[in-house]
Amino acid sequence: MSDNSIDLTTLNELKEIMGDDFSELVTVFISDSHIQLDDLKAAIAASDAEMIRRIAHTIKGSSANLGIDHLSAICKELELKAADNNIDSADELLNSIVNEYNDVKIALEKLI
Amino acid sequence: MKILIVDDELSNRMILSAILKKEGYSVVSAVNGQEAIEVFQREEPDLVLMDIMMPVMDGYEATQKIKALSQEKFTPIIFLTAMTDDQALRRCVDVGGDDFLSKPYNKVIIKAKIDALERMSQLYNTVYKQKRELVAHQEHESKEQEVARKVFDSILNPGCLSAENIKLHLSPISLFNGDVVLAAVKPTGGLHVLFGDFTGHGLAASLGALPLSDVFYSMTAKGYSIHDVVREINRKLKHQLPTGMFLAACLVEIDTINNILKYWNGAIPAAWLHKGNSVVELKSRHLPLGILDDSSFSDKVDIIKINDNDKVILSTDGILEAENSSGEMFGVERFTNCLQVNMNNTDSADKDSKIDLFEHILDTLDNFIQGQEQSDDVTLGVISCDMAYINQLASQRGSYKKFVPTHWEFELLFYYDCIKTIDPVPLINQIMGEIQGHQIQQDKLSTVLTELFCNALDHGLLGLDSSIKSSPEGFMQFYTDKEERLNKLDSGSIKISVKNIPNNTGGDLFIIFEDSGQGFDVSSLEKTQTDKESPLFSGRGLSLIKNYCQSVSFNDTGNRVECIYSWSNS
Repeated sequence: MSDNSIDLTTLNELKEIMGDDFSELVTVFISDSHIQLDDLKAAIAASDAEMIRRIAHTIKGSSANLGIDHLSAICKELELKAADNNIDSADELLNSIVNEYNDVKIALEKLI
Repeated sequence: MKILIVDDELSNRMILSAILKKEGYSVVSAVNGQEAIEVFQREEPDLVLMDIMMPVMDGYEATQKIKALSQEKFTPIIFLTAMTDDQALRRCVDVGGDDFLSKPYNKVIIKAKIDALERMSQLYNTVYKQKRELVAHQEHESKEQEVARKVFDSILNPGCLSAENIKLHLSPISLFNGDVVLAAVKPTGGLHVLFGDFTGHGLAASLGALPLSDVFYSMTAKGYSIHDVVREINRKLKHQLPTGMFLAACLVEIDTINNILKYWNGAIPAAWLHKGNSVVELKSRHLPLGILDDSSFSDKVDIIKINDNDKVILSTDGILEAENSSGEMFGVERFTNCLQVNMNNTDSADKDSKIDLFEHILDTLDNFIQGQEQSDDVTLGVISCDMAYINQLASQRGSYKKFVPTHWEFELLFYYDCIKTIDPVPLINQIMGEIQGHQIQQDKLSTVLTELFCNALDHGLLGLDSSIKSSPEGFMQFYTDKEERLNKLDSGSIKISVKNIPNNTGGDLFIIFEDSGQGFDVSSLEKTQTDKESPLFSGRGLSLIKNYCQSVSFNDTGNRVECIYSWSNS
């Protein structure tokens, strides 16, 4: 996990806003993202550029909301490539996304 | 304030919802566009936060549908987007989006945007509300105008505007543009027509038509000539209309007895007489009605000899000021040019080939304006001077009762308390008017009745001495005494009886005034009969009564006087 994986300012602000619901939010994010990653794997296996773009877009947005900036950035890269129908390096990016997700998951679970 | 969040990601909804709730908003949510429409209709939120990419129905489509549903109320929609794609942003605006919000959400920016849009929707909704009120108000006003028009129609149209010799182009709402047209036949034959144009527009301009038509119809029915009618209209309008409101008018009288046209024109710019081979302008020589005091007003009419085939053309300024698409006015020249038809073509044999003047004017005008919207109504009348037809109209008018002198008698008895408040003279005149029409000239008779009543009251009931009126101090004293005694009066009565014995041309009125007072020494009156300066009976108006009446006689006790007044209806 890199240093810029999680923007702690955003996350702390969110913790303050959400209060008791914060742990639920983190749980929801972890499980939803997990499902989306499975979908993303399937879309890449099927070379479905449009589906890849949509899922990358969704993870990009939801991770940005929680201040998970690095994951959001890789997803954005994949989204843009998929939009250009350029999915040759999708497997590579998928690996980075999965690795980053796993790191973030561990870090987040420590917070709740 | 209620906000609808539309996003398929639960975590996104949770974050937004938490932020909004913390700011005090109430929140409802939907997971896609389809559900958003349902929730919108059910919950009627004040603002919508809309994600774009969603399953089932995306944010673009949902926004379009929601905007279509809320046309009466402004509901701002903010798109939730990362703002990376220019085309996507363009599309957000195209489908009706009002603003954007990017992830990650910043609570300060969210609050600021919502506040700004709330202000905007308040402004919009105020405008919508005012617009609705305005529309309702306009509907109400046009309904009121409709009612007013019906009332005016029934008041203004007892005349003969529908007579066959009158062709009229008059818009149903022309009255609200100040235009008014009246026509009535005289009981003795002859036709009166008035074309008028009140200053101003709308209901205010039409109100003056009420006193106007009242005077026009009642005086025409009584047989007055237009110079009397126009003077009375001027007097009444001057008195009743506010300053700055007046009536441009042209009155014409087609006199079928002398075959002449009389006209009085005050500021009507388009009035002509078409005489077959020439056109005579009925020139305006007067100020509009309702401006001058009666003393400076001129009722001078102009007179032109007419034939049966002549036609009077009258129009208010709407026709002269009618504009074509290049802003040119129809004007006097075009109007008079189109009156040049049928010239030197008065042969009755050619009657069928003649162009109808009325249609010709309207056709020429239509060709000129070419459907251009006009600011003023076109009011045009063409009146044929067919005298036999006009006379026939007069005899058809059942409304003019034919009064013949008849036998009748009535008696009125007034007691002391009633005498304090009533003036019996107009009452007597009114009764006689109802019975005998207005054939009895009332000015002299009123003088007689007034004098008789004063004598019965002043000398009979109040016991006043007229002789003291000969000095200025006594004169004042007389009226002071009269007021005082009248106030104290607590008994007595005056009986008035009037009987008519008719003859071929009118009748003899037997008028008796009898009071309950002491009377006077009648013999002394007889002694001084030749001496008109007698102080005893001065101020009793007896000489006046004797001048107007065939005979005047008292009973022995002097409390009853009988006069015979002859009248004729010629």
